[in-house]
Amino acid sequence: MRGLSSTLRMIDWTGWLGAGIVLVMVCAAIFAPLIAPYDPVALSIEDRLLAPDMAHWLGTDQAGRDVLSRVIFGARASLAVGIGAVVIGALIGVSAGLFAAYKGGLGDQIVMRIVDGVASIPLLVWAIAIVGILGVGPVRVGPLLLPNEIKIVLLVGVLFSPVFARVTYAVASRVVGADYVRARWLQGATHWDIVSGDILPNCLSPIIVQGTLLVAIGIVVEASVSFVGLGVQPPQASWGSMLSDARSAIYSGEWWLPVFPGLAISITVIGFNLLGDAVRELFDPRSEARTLVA
Amino acid sequence: MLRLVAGRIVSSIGTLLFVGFALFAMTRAGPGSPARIVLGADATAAQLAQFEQANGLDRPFLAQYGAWLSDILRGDFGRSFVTGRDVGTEIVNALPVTLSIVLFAFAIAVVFGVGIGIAAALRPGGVFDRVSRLLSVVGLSVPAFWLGIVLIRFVAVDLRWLPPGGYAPLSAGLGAHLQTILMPAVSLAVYYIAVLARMTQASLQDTLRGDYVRTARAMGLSSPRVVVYALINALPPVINLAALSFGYMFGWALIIEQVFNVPGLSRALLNAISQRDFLLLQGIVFLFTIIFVLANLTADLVNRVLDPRQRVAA
Amino acid sequence: MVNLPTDRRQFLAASAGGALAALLPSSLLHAQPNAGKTLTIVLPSNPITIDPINQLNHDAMVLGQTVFENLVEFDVDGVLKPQLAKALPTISADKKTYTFELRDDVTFHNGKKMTAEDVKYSFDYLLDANNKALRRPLFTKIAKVTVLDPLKVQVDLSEPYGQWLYFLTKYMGIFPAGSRKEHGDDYFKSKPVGIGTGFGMFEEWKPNDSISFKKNPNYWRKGLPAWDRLVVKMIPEDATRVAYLLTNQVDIISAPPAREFNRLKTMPGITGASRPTLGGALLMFTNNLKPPLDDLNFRKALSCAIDRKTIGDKVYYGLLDPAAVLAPPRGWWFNDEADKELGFDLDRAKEFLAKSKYPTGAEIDISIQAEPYLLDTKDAAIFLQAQLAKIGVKINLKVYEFSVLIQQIARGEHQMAMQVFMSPGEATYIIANTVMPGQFLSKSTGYDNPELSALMAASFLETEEAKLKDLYGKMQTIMARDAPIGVLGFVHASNLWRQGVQDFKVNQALTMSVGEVKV
Repeated sequence: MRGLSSTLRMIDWTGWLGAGIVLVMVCAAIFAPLIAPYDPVALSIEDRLLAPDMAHWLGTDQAGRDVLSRVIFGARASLAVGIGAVVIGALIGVSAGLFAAYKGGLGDQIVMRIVDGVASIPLLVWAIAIVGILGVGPVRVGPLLLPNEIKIVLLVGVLFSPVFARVTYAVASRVVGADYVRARWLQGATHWDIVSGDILPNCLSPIIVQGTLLVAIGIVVEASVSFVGLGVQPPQASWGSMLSDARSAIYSGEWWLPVFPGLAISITVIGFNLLGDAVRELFDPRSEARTLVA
Repeated sequence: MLRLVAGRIVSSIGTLLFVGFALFAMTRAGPGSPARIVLGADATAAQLAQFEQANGLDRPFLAQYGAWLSDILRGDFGRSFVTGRDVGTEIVNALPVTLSIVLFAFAIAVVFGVGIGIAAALRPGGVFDRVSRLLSVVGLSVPAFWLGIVLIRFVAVDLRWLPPGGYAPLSAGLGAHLQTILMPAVSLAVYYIAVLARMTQASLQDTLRGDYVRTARAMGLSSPRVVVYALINALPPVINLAALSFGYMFGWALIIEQVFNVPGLSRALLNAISQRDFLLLQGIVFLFTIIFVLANLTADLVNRVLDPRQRVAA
Repeated sequence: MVNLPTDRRQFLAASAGGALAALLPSSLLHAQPNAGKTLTIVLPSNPITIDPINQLNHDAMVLGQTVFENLVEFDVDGVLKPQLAKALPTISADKKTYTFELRDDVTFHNGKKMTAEDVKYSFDYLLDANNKALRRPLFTKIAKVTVLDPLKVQVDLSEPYGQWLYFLTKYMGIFPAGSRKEHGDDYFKSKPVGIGTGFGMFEEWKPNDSISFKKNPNYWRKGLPAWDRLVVKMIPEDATRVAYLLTNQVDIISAPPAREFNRLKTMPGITGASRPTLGGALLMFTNNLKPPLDDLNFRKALSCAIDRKTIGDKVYYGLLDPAAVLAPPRGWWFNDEADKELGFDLDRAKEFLAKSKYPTGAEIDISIQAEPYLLDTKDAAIFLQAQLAKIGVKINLKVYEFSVLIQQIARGEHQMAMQVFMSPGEATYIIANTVMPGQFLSKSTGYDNPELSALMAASFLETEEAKLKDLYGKMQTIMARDAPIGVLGFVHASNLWRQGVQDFKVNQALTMSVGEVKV
């Protein structure tokens, strides 16, 4: 086992940059109400379309709302979708992978063929089609009124799950067959002991690597779905919908309207990608072959 | 090996069946009806009921699904409730537009991605290595639609080099055709250039570090020949990724077509969504899924056939 | 001496552009597909049909109005004028019989002369319930159409109803006798060749892209149209529509984004104008049957708490004429007094609220439309949310697609809903459909008042403007008293066009009018 300090020393500056960006964005999302200088939905018609100045660092939009505050609050929607989808995908995927590897035989075949099937559903097309069909309005499920974001998170999460399932499956089937596990077995270890003590720790690093990179993809997917008007609905802000609202501003000269949400997306995605790469270098330097694409 | 292929094909068909069912169930259960779109806000209840009956929308759900599926198997996508046009024809008309953008983007991505990747791997620390690194940061982080908007503003509106959007078919001349698809294809390709360059570089560097390359060099094999052999060995994961990318590109093309006002499948799909044109929507999403499933299948098979390690494993 | 560009960026631009130009045909490069006499206009949405008797979309009506014409025309200024008839009809004393003299110089695109038989056939077809024309309900008071002689028709109504003439331009057209049976409905919907009398002859429909028309060389208005070809492009994306105009790809666009309109119309090479429509209202459908909107004082409090002038001037940049009653401020029937009763006055709003069953305020869900139509109602909704908060009313925005929203409103499932409602621009249409019982949007308000219905019936008997003004005024007074529906204002129709385009006039009825335009 390497010491913590020597591990940390292995991360180069890009990794630290990535970690820093992610930390800043996550903090911005969590503490948005404390950090944001203004209420992100408060209108001030008299102050609309102001260029960036001392009062409004990133300017104001067509309804006089403070762009900086909206970008900060927008981090919530973007990260919630990105991280939420990865968490859901990891839960489903890891359970499926564990089940298949552990069970073996027909159960293994069925589960992993389902995983293959889910992996061959095109993410963006389906995100657009499903939100389009179900509508952007809130959906009532029992007593709960689910906002549109939940649909996107669930869908993207499910479609992310094969990545996790395959990673877990590969590690778990290796571990399950290993001699030392058989030995532990004979010593009277329970299923849960084996799963939590032997399998999960071994899966953890690739899951973290893939998860970090998938968050970046989830953020871009949210932005794209919002861009065609099927994402987060007003008055709430998301980077994608801000960018979409600002599309025509690109002709009329209010450059700050599209530029800042666009930058926020790019910087956050860079952050997660750099962090993911650094984590990969750290845990699993030879796993380049599992480059993610979306 | 054969069993593996057969297994993958079976699971692909399973995917398509499931996906078709899910799609059908959701369109029928979701809110909104094409009747309102066709008949308008002013329609009476009787007019609405009459429309649903005439179009078979009042039949039991499973009966509708069965009919749709058997029609699809015969190559008949049905007739749109809204426009009255044949869905198959509609798709056949729009597909070449999307296809030409995606193919062009794919060509750009493969040529530049693999090219930069190779150049970067051969000279670690060189110019291309740095370009590749920069690309993998920028390319992965600029959403394609955002890039598209920027291109329209500067290339089309300010510089007037290219039209701001629209589409000229190949029959209007190669030049005109390329002019209309250049910006959409570039916007679409940038992400994949980054992904492929990264993969090529990593895979090639990996191979060049391998024992057999060292042995070959030690045995006096000339450098270019070593590189060629290494390249052949480094390619399988790149081809795998390229095949996957091809499938994914259709998804992003939806957004890109919207930005550039290209009358391809995306226009048709988004229209179908807002007009609740179920048959057209089902047809297009189904088609996208088929393309994606095929891309996946290809990627998988390429991987298993070409990659020696995987071959042994199989 | 060759004039070389000196600025580095310009030089790079020019040389790279030159390099590209060498490779590519110049036809597209400098984007001049409009050379010659093609007029290219842009619709913001994808039309479903060309057939006027089934047309729903007011932008898309330009297609039907290019191919088809009618006896009379409700023109761009909101004036009723003869079109295929020589003059406005003579109306009998009992207001039930209308006689039209037809022009003798009109031919269909197939070369056949237009006669009274064609007019009778067209009306009979529209009125036959078996033909399921969507617009039939507007004309059901027509009892019979009789051919008096080849150039004279008589229309008999079952009861007086002067308003029907105003619907002819938007919702009906004259086509040759027998043509429906010969060609079928799909022909009228998507490829109406040879069956109209209009200035344009249908050429081609490229789905999701454009629809084109040729000049009608035998058009009865000599010298028109001044173009050889009309191309109607569909560009749903706001920013792209603007880009097309700025790069000279198209000549006229409709529905430019409100936010950019004022700036764009002053750009070099671009002209723009807007005018208020008489029939496009931004409405707040208040469901009178659901609390808290079941309380009259509460509804009045809402109405008085809305600063419509700011919404019109600031939120919509002058493209909304503020009004609190169901009548356009620029219409001759507008009742100023009634408007004041419901107009912005925060103190009165608070008084009304105190008198209501909900003196401390309430929470309301408002349904709004996801896709902008003419105006983005989301902008007004977020403004409303801020304004109503001042009197303690909390508004929750719920966004739905058009097809979902309209169903909600028609079934009365909403609490409050906001939408732009487009109508032909005469006084009774919106009122009849939203606040009177038994109509398709009656449940949007759930309001029923026999007094209002009686006034409406009385207005059908009148054809004189002065008497109508009195009746319409009284209807507004009643609606100001009961506040059955929230009104924010009437929208402007706006267009932007290239300077090369001449004689284009923004239509008060929204639909672009291109028959007289010169390129």
